[in-house]
Amino acid sequence: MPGGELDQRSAPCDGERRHIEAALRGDGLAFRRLVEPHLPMLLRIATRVGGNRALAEDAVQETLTLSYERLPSYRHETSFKAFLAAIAARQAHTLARSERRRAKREHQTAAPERSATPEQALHGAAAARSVRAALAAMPEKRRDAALLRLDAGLSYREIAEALDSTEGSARVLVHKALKELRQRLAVLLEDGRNKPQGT
Amino acid sequence: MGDEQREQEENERLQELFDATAVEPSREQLDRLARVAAQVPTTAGRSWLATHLAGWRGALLGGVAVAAAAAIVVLLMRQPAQQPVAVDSARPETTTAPLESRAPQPEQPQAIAALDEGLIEVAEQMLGEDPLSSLDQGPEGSPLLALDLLYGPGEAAFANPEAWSKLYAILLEDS
Repeated sequence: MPGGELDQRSAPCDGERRHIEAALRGDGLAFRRLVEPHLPMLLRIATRVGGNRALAEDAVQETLTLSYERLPSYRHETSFKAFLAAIAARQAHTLARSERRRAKREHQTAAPERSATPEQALHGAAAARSVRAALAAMPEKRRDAALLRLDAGLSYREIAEALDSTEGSARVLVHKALKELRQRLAVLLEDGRNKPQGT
Repeated sequence: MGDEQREQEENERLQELFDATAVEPSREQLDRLARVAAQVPTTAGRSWLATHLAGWRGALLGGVAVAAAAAIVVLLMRQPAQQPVAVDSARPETTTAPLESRAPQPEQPQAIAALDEGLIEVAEQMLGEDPLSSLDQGPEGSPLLALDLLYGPGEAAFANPEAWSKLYAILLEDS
């Protein structure tokens, strides 16, 4: 679970630095080694925002290209994971927005939200849709803070780096984001509390 | 239970909800993306090159266009110099300009270039004394002979009958 290591910021490692330098010289294998450990996290963010695997994969591919193009401006003293996560969140939102516009143009309305039982809600697609809808209704920066905290598992310091703000601002932003999410998802959270452990 | 502790517990449940609703990527999906990542430095580098080449292509096309325009301007500027009489024949003083320049032009045929000063003087005298007589001096009665002797045959201005007649009219007036 990403939240388990929330405040353990990964120390910059020499291997990462070597991979970055080699990748900048055009070494594809080095770039693969650099990003491969972060692919599950990038897919998780992109799927959360986009809602489907195909869109998420497109978003991750674009994230990889963008992150390579921005690699020369990456600062080694900051978290590479945060660097990638920030790009992925923005890219996934951009793709999801254009997908929604396209669907609207083609009159393809999304399937109506169905009220699910608590079991279905917690473990099924309905819960995932509810979480996505709650995130989508939030202000952009607050939504990104929630994504970076809950899906990417970034520390406050890493969130501050990703959002280009201070650690104090990141703490306040995350606090507000989680509070809003708790309110929006109160029913789901209440059902989860009443649910017996292990099911 | 204090507010802080309650908030912490609610945040943990929120994290559990996010974990429970996250989609686990398949091994194939991860492998596919890893392979894409290995290609990124090549494809991104290529797109960078393409972008910059596109910029250079624009600059090159612009350069060619400027060079072509400059060539056209030079040609247009040279044109009046090659046709001094035809363009400015309305003004009498311009008709004398070619007469003053007796040296054969480099682009004139060898035969005309070889004309000596004496022959040119003869032609001028013929025109000065009786311009009409020159009409009968050419081979097979060609009226262009005298002017050909002065300016060389085949020049664009004299190949143009209208320009030639204007010049001839001016010469008659002068005489």
